[in-house]
Amino acid sequence: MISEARRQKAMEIIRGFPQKSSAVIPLLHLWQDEEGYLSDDAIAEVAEIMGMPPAEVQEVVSFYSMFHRRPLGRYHIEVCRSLSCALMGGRDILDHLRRRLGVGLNEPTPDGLFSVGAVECLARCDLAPVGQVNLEYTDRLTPEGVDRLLADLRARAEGGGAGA
Amino acid sequence: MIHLTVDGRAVEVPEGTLILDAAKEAGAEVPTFCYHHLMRPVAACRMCLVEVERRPKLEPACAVTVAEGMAVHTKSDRVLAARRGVLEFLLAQHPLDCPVCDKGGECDLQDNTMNHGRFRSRYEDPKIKKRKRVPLSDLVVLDEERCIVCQRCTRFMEEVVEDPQLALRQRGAYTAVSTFPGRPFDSLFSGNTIEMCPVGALTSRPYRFRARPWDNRTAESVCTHCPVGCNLAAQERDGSMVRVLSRENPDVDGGWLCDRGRFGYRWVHHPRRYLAPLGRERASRRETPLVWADALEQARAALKAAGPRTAVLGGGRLTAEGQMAARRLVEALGTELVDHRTGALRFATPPGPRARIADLDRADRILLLGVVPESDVPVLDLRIKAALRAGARLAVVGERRTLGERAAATALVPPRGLGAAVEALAEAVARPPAAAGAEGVEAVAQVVAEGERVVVLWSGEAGGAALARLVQALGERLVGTLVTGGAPSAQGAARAGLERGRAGEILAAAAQGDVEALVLLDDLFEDAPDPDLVRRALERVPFVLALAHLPTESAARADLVLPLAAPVEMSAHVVNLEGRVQPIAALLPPPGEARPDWEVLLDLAGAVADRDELVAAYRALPEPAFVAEEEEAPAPPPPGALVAVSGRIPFDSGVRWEEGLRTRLPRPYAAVHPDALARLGLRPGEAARLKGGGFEGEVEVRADDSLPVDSVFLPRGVIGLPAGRLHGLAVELEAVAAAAAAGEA
Amino acid sequence: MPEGGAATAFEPVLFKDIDTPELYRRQVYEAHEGYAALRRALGGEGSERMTPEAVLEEVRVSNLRGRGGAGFPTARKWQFLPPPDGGPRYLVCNADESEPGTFKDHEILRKNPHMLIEGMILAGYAMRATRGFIYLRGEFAQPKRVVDAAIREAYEAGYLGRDILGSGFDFDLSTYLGAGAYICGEETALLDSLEGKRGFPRLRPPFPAVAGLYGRPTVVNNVETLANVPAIVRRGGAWFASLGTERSGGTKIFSISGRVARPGNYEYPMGTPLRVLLYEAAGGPLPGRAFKAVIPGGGSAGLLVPSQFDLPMDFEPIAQAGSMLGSAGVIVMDDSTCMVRAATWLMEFYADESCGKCTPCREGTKWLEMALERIETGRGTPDDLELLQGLPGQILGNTFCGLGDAAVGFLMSAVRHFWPEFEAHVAEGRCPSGGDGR
Ligand SMILES: Cc1cc2nc3c(=O)[nH]c(=O)nc-3n(C[C@H](O)[C@H](O)[C@H](O)COP(=O)(O)O)c2cc1C
Ligand code: SF4
Ligand code: SF4
Ligand code: FES
Ligand code: FES
Repeated sequence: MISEARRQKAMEIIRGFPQKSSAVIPLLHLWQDEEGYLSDDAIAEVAEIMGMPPAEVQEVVSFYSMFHRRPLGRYHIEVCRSLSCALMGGRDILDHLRRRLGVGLNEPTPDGLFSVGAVECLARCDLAPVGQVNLEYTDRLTPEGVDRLLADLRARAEGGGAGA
Repeated sequence: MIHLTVDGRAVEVPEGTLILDAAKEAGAEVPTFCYHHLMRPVAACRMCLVEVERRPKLEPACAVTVAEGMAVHTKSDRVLAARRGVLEFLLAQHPLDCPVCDKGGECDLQDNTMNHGRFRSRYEDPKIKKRKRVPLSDLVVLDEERCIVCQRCTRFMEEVVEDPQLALRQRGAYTAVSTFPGRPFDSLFSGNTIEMCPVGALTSRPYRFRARPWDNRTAESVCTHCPVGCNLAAQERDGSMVRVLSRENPDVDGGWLCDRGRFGYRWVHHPRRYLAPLGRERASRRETPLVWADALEQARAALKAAGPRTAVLGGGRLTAEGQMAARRLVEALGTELVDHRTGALRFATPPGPRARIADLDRADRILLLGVVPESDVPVLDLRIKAALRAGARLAVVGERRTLGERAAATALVPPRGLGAAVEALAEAVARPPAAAGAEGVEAVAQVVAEGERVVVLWSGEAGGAALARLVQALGERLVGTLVTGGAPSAQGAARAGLERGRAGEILAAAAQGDVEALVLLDDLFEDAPDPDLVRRALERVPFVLALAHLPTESAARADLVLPLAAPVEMSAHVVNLEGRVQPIAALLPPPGEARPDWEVLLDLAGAVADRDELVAAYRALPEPAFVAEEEEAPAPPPPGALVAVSGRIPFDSGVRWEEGLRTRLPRPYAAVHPDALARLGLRPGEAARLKGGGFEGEVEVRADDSLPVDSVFLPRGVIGLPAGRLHGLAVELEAVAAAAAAGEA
Repeated sequence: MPEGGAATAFEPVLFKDIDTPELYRRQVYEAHEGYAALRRALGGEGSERMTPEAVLEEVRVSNLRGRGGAGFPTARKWQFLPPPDGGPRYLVCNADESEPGTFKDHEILRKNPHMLIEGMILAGYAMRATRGFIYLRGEFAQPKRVVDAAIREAYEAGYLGRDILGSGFDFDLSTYLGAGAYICGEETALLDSLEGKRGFPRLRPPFPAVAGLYGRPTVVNNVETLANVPAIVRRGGAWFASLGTERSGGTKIFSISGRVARPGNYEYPMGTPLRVLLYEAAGGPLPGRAFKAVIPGGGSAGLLVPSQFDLPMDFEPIAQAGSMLGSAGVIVMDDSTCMVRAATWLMEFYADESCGKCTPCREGTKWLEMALERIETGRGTPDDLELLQGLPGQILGNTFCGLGDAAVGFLMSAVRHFWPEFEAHVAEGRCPSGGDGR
């Protein structure tokens, strides 16, 4: 069931475009922002509001790398693996993180707190290596800095604080 | 005209021609994968790259049009290298299961590799694992690893069917075709994707591993499941039909088949086919096989004795030859008790000019009167959509909404309200245009009145006299009318004069004891408005003779059954809704002693003629004239009542004879508008009790927002549901107590 | 200018005030000549109102060429639009900035959104567009917030909306957030994405100018391209042209990253020698290191070696040297860099980002990625080396869109200049460079 508030928001987004079809990606963002990932139900709901066949909405979802079909950790940490960052050790950071957390890519830790993703050039290569925590940029990553980041985030989670 | 050279050969082609077609004209075959001549080019596979002088890059011949003075090379070293490159890339991830692939022998990838590859195949690389044998539906299975992402299937569903149930998933090398999880690929046109898939990625589940194409023998035939008459290629192996392919006829089917036509061929091998004449003793129901001579003797004697008191019912499924032979029989008997319209069809002949299917392509207005194209004439649904994309506007008058938002105007009428609505439409069209913002019939009139090339599709079930007035009002603006109702070859039966009386009255007379012999050319129960009346008539008539393929409900009650050959078992002609006479060729011999319909009917008439004579005689007949007939206005239903409306569905109980379509066998159901469902306290999928017109039975409830809120849709041709009889009557629908439902299930 | 300063004397255009605090606020922007061009052209402030043709003429004279990669003359692109027919016409700003090593648009969006907005209004006026979109890559959620706030401010000031500054010109503008796909930087894939589809490049013709967004006439321009327009209108096209080379007017922002002392965005005149960028702007190599190779135009461009560092950074000279200026994302590699590794990393990117529409790119990038990974990890065979020689040529020029060519640009140049490194990987079964492998 789609909440009335979200339906309202969706309608407002749809009204903002000259043609309704343009609203599908913004709506998927809206659903993912609120639910953390895009379940079959979420896709069916967006399809219903958009008046699109669900197969087409799924096509859109699966094409774009920022849409996730499975739940991620509460803190999703992504590291850029493209050339400029890699030249400055970005891939080592990625490996370091995965070893620390003992997870594969886009796979949450058992406590659901963290997941790690690899992303392509984030257009901040001057600050390489670059990463994101729940889509907020973080840069000049070092193994020690990443360890501190994990500790901070864990503390924040235990303190009952909100997301990053 | 544009002048160009292809590999040095000069050709002249019309402006807008694709390089691909110009090359063909010049005798140069350019290999393709993604291009399909019935869809827009996408230039994705890059197989067709050719060199155009003075252009830096190779160009896709499937997407680039010719220009004056162009010099094209299709065999230069650059072109051949690019082609080999594309093939090599496609093979790099392709599984090596060709020996077990159903497409083997007719795979574009195999063929193109054979003709254009000739490179030593490169190193084995770990292939990307994808899913194999993914059932997309009961009819279509997908092998993702074989897919070359040509997008023909997805484009077909999007561009042609306008129902994108198939879409691509992922991107890059992981791209694959898929449906949405949990939703089957249940389009009525799904089978076309199998045929157009250039590789073995989409294959037919019924056909799976049945045969290899080189072992198949083919005959050109025509689909006899509906009045469109799509052209098809029927294939058999070792005496068994294995599949049906489209045999594109631009004037009729536009290159497509619906799944009923494509997968509905196994009935000819049903173990209960009648193989020999059969006598049946009424009291004991004992059946005795007879030799033809004795059976014919017996039949002729009985018919002769009955003479003009013989009724001949049905005939809309006969070949044109059979329809002519039936005419001879009717003439010999001197009977007027003849009608092929045993179902809901009332008028087989339209007032005014007839339309051709191809007229739809040039129409600027299409008017549907009581027709639901997807159910009644499926492949025309695609043609209408194409016409609408080309700019035609659609107006609908009917008991159900159809083609959704594509209709510029829709007038939803109550059950049995078609006649009155057409009457109002004729009046409105004759009047000066109504103000903007009109609704219902007025809105339809507005759309139609603006047209200059109007094509009408009419069910022929009601509103004949009214349509005649509309035809008059439209005058020159009307291109013509197609009548979609009745049996597949109802137009042929009408032309052959197999409509001298009214089936309903004839049956009533028979039930009264006024008919001495009854010749059944069709199953009377399938479409019967009143199955009880049929039952009583069959019991009362002293001699019932059935010409049949299978033990239908009617044939199973006959005193004498004469076995008929199926359409793929004879060379003859069939007539479609345009009145087009299309040849069919025998693929298989008839089983046992079954015989072509015309032979049996000639024998019964004691006449002699050959096939050519019959066809010539058929063609020489004049067009039947439209006969206006008064129709009684339906009694208004009690206010607030639910009223039944019936209509055809693509997969009716006829599929009980089809092993490949078993999963499509319909159970009796009743569909109502979701709002009405809520009001009745019913949920979709639930069992409910349907009552009305003396009938009471259990049905599954479905939601259907194409209906008015006070209508109940009942499918025709579903055993156990007298949809025709209930049509127009007030009915009740109530939930079966959950416990009772469980008990019965 | 960012730290380091520049000895080369010229007038900056885009980064003139870039480090002014809160430049993203309208009042601050206005205090630095912001919206002066708009007020002059549309408002008639200080002189007569300019006609759309007059604005277009200034852009034509300015020699402004597209900064999205291809360097197409901007005024010419606008002129391809058919005459207005009363229906909608769109101006779409390409803020997808996904080319590896490119981060200039990001800085403009973050720090000076009003400059882009003013440029879009002027461009929209010149081409009589009715509505604008800024297509931001999905990862640009932060810049989106900045741009959205600036758009609100611009509406409040009457720079957007109906009858802008009494000119009778109506123009609406909004942002749109993608969702992660490099191909959506390609302008027709961008339009498909903006229409709510997967980002597949479209068949041309029809060109976007004729049938673009929703099938209507559309121009797609890069952020930096459009951000130049206010200065061109304010100072005149001739002034702008004089800043650059004969064929390319103005300045350019060069994004310099990788193995250099001072990575960052640097604005320099078009045609500035690469050496000046590397040493004067970016401070030369990291301590104790020596330059080995440089990509001058983002991951899609072929590499240049030190002997080519005196090339002027302009479209034609770099193209003649077998590479391309592209997005001017300058990625620097030094003597610690393994070329096989660099090629592998880049190929992973393209294999990941291939949209999957056409065969050579979809299959070729994946195949090359697998071969490169084998070589790089010491499992490569002579057959794999042969693949590196053969497959790129089967892709180059044969794909549906430019991504295929982009995918093999670096590899082909690395094979040309550093083939012994590839051979050594196979011969020794490991990376011969030792070092830290970067
Ligand atoms: C694969 C590919 C990726 C591209 N990515 C971008 C991009 O991220 N940003 C951009 O402005 N242009 C990009 N382009 C170029 C655009 O297609 C287009 O040429 C440009 O937006 C036009 O703007 P301009 O004329 O102002 O340069 C890309 C092109 C290709 C082929
Ligand atoms: S399944 Fe067949 S038709 Fe569909 S994209 Fe793949 S190869 Fe083409
Ligand atoms: S080259 Fe082909 S597969 Fe690659 S991104 Fe372009 S269209 Fe897609
Ligand atoms: S390469 Fe990592 S941000 Fe550009
Ligand atoms: S057939 Fe032309 S590109 Fe596929």
